[in-house]
Amino acid sequence: MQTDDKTTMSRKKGWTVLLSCLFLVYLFGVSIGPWLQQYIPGMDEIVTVMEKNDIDGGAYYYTEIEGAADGYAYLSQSLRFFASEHYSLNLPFLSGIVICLLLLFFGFRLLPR
Amino acid sequence: MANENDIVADHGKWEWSEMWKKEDWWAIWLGVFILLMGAVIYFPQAGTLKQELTAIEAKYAPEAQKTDKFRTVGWYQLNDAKNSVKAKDNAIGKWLANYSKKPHSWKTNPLDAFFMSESAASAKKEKAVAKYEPLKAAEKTALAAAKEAEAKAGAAGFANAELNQKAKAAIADWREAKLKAGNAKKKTKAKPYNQIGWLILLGVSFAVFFGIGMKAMGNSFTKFIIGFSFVWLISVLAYFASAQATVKAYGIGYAFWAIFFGMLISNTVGTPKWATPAVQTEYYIKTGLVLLGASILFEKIITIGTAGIFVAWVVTPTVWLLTYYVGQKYIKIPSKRLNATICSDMSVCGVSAAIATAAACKAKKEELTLAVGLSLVFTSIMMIVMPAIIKATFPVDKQMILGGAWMGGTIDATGAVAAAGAFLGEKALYVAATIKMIQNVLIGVIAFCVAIYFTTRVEAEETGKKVGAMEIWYRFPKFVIGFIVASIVFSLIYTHFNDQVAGLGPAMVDQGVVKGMGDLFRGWFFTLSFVSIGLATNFRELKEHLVGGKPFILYVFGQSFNLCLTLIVAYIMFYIVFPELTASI
Repeated sequence: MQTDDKTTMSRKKGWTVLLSCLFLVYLFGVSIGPWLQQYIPGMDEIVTVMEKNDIDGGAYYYTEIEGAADGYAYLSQSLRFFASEHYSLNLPFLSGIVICLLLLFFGFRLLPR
Repeated sequence: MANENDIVADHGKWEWSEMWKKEDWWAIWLGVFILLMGAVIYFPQAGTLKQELTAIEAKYAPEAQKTDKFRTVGWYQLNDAKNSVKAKDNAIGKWLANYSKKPHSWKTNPLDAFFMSESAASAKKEKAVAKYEPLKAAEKTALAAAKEAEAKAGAAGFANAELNQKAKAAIADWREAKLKAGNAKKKTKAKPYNQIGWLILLGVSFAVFFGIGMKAMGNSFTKFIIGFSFVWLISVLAYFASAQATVKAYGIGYAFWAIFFGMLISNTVGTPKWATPAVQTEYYIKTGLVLLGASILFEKIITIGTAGIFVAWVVTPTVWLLTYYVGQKYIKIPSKRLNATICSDMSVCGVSAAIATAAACKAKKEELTLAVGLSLVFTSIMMIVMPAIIKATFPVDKQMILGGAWMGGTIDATGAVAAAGAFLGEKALYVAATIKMIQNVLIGVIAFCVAIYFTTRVEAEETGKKVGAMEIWYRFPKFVIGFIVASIVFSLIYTHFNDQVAGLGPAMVDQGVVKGMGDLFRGWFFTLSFVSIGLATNFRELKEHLVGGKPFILYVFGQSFNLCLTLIVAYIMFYIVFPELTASI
């Protein structure tokens, strides 16, 4: 098999390292990880919470988490019902957006060369 | 994230043929095609869902607005009923979910990721039903108790503080029982599956999908298809690893595994030559980013009012700019692109922001790898340490809102934010996830600013040429246009739906085109790009960027500043400037 010249390993060594690493990953998942968990303070509790709430700790974006959709619904409905003056494009809210844009506009202009 | 010698825009002239010959444009066409398909599938249901939501409003709104002393049973029922309206729940949506499904969760037997027999599913279901039944009964009892307590408080005109408090406590007990029953119910839906066939079908579809663009760009369709099989296999392997229970608990997601397996292969046995035509990092990543654009919905930034906008939109650019400044001026990071990618990674929202920024400033693949690695390490630590600190040091009445806002504004990855938030409680989870969501919306703005900055300033300095308006256009990464336009168009559609009846926007866009179409493929596209990064990365090249530990120092500095500023601003906004907003949460 022709390969890109990224490695200096012999074929035999390459395969040995690759398969060993894959085995180590498996071992981490099924035994090292759970064993290590008990020595990390707070880890067991976090794992329980994640299992209870069905949270994927590896999610990268808000749409991948159910809690974000629930949170959006809960908070927007709370504000609409109990503090409707805060659920609008009022002056303080717009000032936050303007400050953000001004920061970016002037900030990027003033960055060092 | 191009190699410096193949930056598309350096030609310095515009040709219309770029629109079908360059990957930036192909990323836009492919992304737009997927989003259009989503719109065609889901938007015709708008009328039906609008009627459904209007009926829900009519049924529950009077009960929901009975008092402002506490959230009534009706308030929660209105919320739950609205949340259950989803455009993606139609037949095509369900088929698409199966078609694009990633390997299933598994604990010790790797085969569980791909197969479940009829008998195993029945056994699992039976076990789950046995657990669910008592929880269901407990929920029913708790609901009856909550309604009774609420009725007593109502009979006193909601003027008796003690009765109000009792009703509030009974309703909280019912919500807890409902959450437990809901999670148990999910497990009763265990069905047999064989994922292999679906994964092959999905892989073939992606190969043809991206292959068409490759052919149009002048490459061999056949060679791409052959190479793609290898990249696809490693992508499946990455998802397979990230689906393992312990790995999930540690918050090690697919991006890490994709890079790791790619690098492991390329640095041990080597990337096969026949696979290299499909090692197309930018092509996949830019297509994924156009899809990401559709989920950046501007109306979401209002979710938690002015306090949220200050925590997420004022702190974040401040931290970004100061960290970048310190990185250039004092830490002296050798690469401005690495500096920018780490800044976005650390201050905005981890991997997704790093991807968008790296693509916008044309960072090297090793630079993105490094930023993702740093984020992963710190996210795992912060996910465990921050809730513990909050529990130990924050006053009890401030743990949920202040703690949630602090974690949402500082922990990089959304999954870790949710886990840390849920550790403190439901409210903390909601606040943390919402602050993170508002930060997510900033990705588009930051990516656009970074693209402009690098096009007009950094590249101009590097090439020594003065940059005019047309030159900016030539050099500007065109996929950013697709990314921004997708965001603007779907934000407008979202608002248009919400203007008809509250909740129609999330039902049609969030729970329709985004989750029922864009998201199903976006994760796969990012995985393909991360695998490509790994397959093209040499350990030695990566090591060069680590010399002196400068990226690490930059991340630590930026994150420390982020932690301090977010906490201060969150406290000021939620407890000094807008206490009435905080009280309503």
